[in-house]
Amino acid sequence: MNIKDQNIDIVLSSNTSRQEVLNFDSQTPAEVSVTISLADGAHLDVVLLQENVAEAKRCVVRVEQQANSVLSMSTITLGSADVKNDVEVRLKGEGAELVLNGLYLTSGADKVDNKTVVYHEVGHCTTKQLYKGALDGESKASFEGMIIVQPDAQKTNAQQTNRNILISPKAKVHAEPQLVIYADDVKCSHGATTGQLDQQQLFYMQQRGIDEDAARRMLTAAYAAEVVGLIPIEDVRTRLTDTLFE
Amino acid sequence: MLDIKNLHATVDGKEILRGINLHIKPGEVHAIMGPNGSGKSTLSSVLAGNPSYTVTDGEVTFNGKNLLELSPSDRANEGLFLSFQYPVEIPGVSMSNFLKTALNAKRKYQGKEPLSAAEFLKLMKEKKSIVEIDSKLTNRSVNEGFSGGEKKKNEIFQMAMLEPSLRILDETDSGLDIDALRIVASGVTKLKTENNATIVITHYQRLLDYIVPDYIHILYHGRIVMTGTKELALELEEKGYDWIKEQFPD
Ligand SMILES: Nc1ncnc2c1ncn2[C@@H]1O[C@H](COP(=O)(O)OP(=O)(O)OP(=O)(O)O)[C@@H](O)[C@H]1O
Ligand SMILES: [Mg+2]
Repeated sequence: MNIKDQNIDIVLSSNTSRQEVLNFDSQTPAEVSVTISLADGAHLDVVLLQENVAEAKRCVVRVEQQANSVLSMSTITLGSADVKNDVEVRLKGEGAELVLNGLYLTSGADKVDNKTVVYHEVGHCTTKQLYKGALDGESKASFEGMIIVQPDAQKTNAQQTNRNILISPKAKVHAEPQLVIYADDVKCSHGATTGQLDQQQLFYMQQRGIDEDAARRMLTAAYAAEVVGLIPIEDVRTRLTDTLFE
Repeated sequence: MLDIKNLHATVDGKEILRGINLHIKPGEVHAIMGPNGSGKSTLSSVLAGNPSYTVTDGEVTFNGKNLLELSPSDRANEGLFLSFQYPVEIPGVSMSNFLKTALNAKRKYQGKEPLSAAEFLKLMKEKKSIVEIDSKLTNRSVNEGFSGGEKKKNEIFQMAMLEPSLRILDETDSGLDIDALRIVASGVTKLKTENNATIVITHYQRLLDYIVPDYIHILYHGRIVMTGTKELALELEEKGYDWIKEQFPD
């Protein structure tokens, strides 16, 4: 749905499931607040889609997950000028699963910030997080991701990855992945990388007649397709993959 | 077709090509042999326009155009094809998307309409049979996880698809098993016409039994120090390079 309201509540009762696409467009208020509440065993797949939005948008997402609930959330920001996403997830019931992915492709003077905080409040929960960005022009992006494993959250399994490529030397990225662990029996990892498009791949493609710009676009699409490929909502996944490679 | 005059090139400030002269006419096959590190791959990279190399002197004319002024993709679309000694893996880019983009870039360059999906598939099928490449490979990402030999086969498959006028094969034989070598080499020969020319870089006489050269050049220390006919390869096979190195001690 296209977001028209400032406040969006998504509440799923026990053992229900839902898929939701939240579309940002020019009619969307400048500040949007999304509240998600998942009862025991509830399953939500949600995509925040910020495609070619010219106006500044702020999006605050607050999530609570009860036992054995599953949330897959993908924040996809493509060609949007000025976006700040602020996501906070509290895992409050054992066995809750969170898949938290993001993709930001920026160019020109775009500015995209993603901030995420995940609280593992109880044990036996998992977080899998992958945020990827590709920055062209003089665009700027930041990723600040924090996972906090509280003392009672034994057997937590948390993975956080942030990858960035700077397509243009004038683009800037700020990456700050953070893990704060107060429990001792956990499996956690995190990492951030920033690189460039592979020069050998670029040359190989050009040797086959594909001009430099098109080669860059194809390599960026291939890089971005990893995140898009993880979106569980099939029609969104297919359409975005086509958009990337067109 | 290709005219190289006094070509000098450096990489990281180090001179690797030190005055190459080479003239190639349509229909000809030229083999380039020479010890490891003598500059064979550097020559092919420079011709293809690899930005890691700097041309410091000399001229290269290709089909009447100043090759050195063209971008790498324009060189390719003019008809220059390099079968890489080390083909590059491109995860996430499918073979079919890659080849369709390459083929249509060339057609656009020539002022032709893009191929329809059906025409493209038909062409793929036809060319796949020339090098006997498996659909399992052509359905994957470009070279991703291909074995060494499969990558080489894939280079020649791409060459078959793009129908270049100048074909530079940099050690296409290395990594191929005996059957694959025969298939790939006869593919190269099948695709030979009186309008295209071939540069075969190899260490082994064996490949030249299949792709018979009109000339063999020995590249040593950045220069072509000797040119002969196909018998020269037999002589090298027998004697190695020491006698050449002694003759050209710098
Ligand atoms: N990118 C590079 N950086 C530094 N040195 C390089 C680079 N590329 C080539 N060289 C050097 O240039 C010389 C020529 O290398 P080249 O790859 O052209 O040799 P070759 O004749 O193809 O050898 P081989 O038969 O082993 O393939 C070598 O000494 C090599 O180390
Ligand atoms: Mg070489």
